[in-house]
Amino acid sequence: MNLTEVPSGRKARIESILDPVTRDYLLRLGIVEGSTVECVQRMARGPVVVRKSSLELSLGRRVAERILVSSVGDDP
Amino acid sequence: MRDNPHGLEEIKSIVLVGNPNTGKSVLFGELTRQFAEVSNYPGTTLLLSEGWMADFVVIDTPGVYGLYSSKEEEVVRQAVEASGIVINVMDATNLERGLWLALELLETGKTVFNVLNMWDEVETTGLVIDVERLGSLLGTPVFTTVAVKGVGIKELVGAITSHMEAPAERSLSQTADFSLDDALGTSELSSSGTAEATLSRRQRIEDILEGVLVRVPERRGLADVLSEIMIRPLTGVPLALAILGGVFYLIGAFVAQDLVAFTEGVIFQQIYEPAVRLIVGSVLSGPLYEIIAGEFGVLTMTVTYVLGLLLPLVFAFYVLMALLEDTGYLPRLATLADRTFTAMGMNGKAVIPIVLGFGCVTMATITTRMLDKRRERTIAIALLALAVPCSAQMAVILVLLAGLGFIYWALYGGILLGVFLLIGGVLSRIIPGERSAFMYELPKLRLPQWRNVLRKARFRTRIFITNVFPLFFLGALFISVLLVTGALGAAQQALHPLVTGWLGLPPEGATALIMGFVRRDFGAAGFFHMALTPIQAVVGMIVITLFIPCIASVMVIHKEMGLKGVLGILGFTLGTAFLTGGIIYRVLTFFLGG
Repeated sequence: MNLTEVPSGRKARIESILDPVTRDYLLRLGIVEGSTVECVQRMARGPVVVRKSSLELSLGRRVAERILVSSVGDDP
Repeated sequence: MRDNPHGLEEIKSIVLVGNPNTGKSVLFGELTRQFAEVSNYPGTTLLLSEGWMADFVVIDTPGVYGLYSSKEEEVVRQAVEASGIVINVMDATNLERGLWLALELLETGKTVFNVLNMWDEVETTGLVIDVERLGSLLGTPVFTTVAVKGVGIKELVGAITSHMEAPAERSLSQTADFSLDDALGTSELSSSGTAEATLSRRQRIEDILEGVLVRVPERRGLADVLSEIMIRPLTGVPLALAILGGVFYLIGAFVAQDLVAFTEGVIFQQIYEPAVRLIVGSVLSGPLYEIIAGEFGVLTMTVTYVLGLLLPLVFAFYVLMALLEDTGYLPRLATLADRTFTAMGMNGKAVIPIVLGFGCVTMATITTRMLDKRRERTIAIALLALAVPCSAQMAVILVLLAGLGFIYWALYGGILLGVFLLIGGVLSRIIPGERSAFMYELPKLRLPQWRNVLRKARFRTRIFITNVFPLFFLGALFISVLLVTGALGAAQQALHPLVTGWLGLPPEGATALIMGFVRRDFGAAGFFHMALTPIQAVVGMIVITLFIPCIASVMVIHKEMGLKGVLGILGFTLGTAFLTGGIIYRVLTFFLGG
């Protein structure tokens, strides 16, 4: 699944960042394949806001769709 | 700028580098006692600014995350290469983010002073960082500062000065023999993401963090809760409307009416203007009197408008804008607005120049540089020129509409918003080009510092007023000359079919339009003395808002987009203004009656 499919409040593990520009940007902020991020807010047809420690980041829809993740923790 | 005190010797320069929102510009102000634009959102320092600290040049740079990925980072890298000393400013509460740049800087072999800014927040949040350990792991000294309060600056300046004066101790960094070419080679590889160097740098950051982060608090603070309220649409949208509405209410109701009634109405119109008329009238008469002290006189109307009306309004607006900027609210507004702005061919970031445009369209036009793609900039500049009234213009408009009641305010605002969205959607379809990815860091919410807010508002107001005065002066002169030569009457005659027939305004409306060529607020002011029906007032205000931007904006647009761009924008705003005005006149007359 991709980052836009993670419900608000849930955590996800980054599996693969498909877009090289996004990957480069996130790498330097400390988000890489294998990092766990919390999805703070997912807006309908809008951006996804993720948090990792004290970093909060707003990622546009099209960016988030190209970040593949797996769910972490208490999923049903 | 001062002369080089060392004669032919190379000037010793210090470059300030850091991520966005780490307080570089505040630190720059503290080091040089000069003002650099400071805001709590990325992209404020769009150009390098220079200042002096004792005999050293200090250069402030735009916030970057690294040195090798973008055009902006290229600018910063060149500044680093040209400097003797680098000060790397990091947000102490977000060390992980700053370390990437710190390592890249160390790899250049330059002398780097690392600064952990916002140190007070570390203490209040319960985060514990082993600063000494960090210094030994990086191989350079690390300083802690609270730049907004001037804490820790003296120690930093002392260390830099003694380093500068002791050139024998060439480099404080661990690998002084590290050559620049090697550093570039490694780092170019690193931007590919798969290179080993990247992974090892990442690994080194993890190791450093493990070594220095003694305690990381788990609990969420009030700022995090507030942040979530701001970006959740259900709560965020009403909050955004309340905040922006509050800003305009404060400006429109309190400043534009109560305060201006005193500054303009009492000080200037009852005391200053009669005095000027008396003095000028005792020396001059006829056309010269008219030009200097008449209805549009350069000593009467110009001074009254600029100092009595614009000064209090613009200053108040800049204070409120600065408060909004420094809290870190704007990037959250950008997140909320992303969807709407995507429909207009931009992304959420564009909300920032648009909101700033309500302060000064000219400045906001420059701020569009923070948008990544040319197409986004074109759309943002066109919308700013068309449908965003600046604070000066808004002031006059609010005063004019004030007496008419809420329905006409709502009509004016609603029509403007409609035009904005509609034209945005159309431009998005007709202007070719790609859209950029929306990736925006949300800075921590902070209480703004009054010192910075007032410093910023004062600085911007001064720029605004000094720019406006000569233009207003020339504009008043121009109109007065037209008036006394009879040309104004001829122009009114020529514009009569358009102004009276198509827009339904009184014939003197043409004067306001001609004045609008000089400044938009000037144009709105032209309606001041006319007896207008409510419908005429709304139509007049809409036309004058959509009408061509002020001369200062036109100059900036020319600089940003070239001659073709500026002509395109002028034609586009003129056409849209008259088309919209005529339609609104007919629709309103139909529904509300003539």
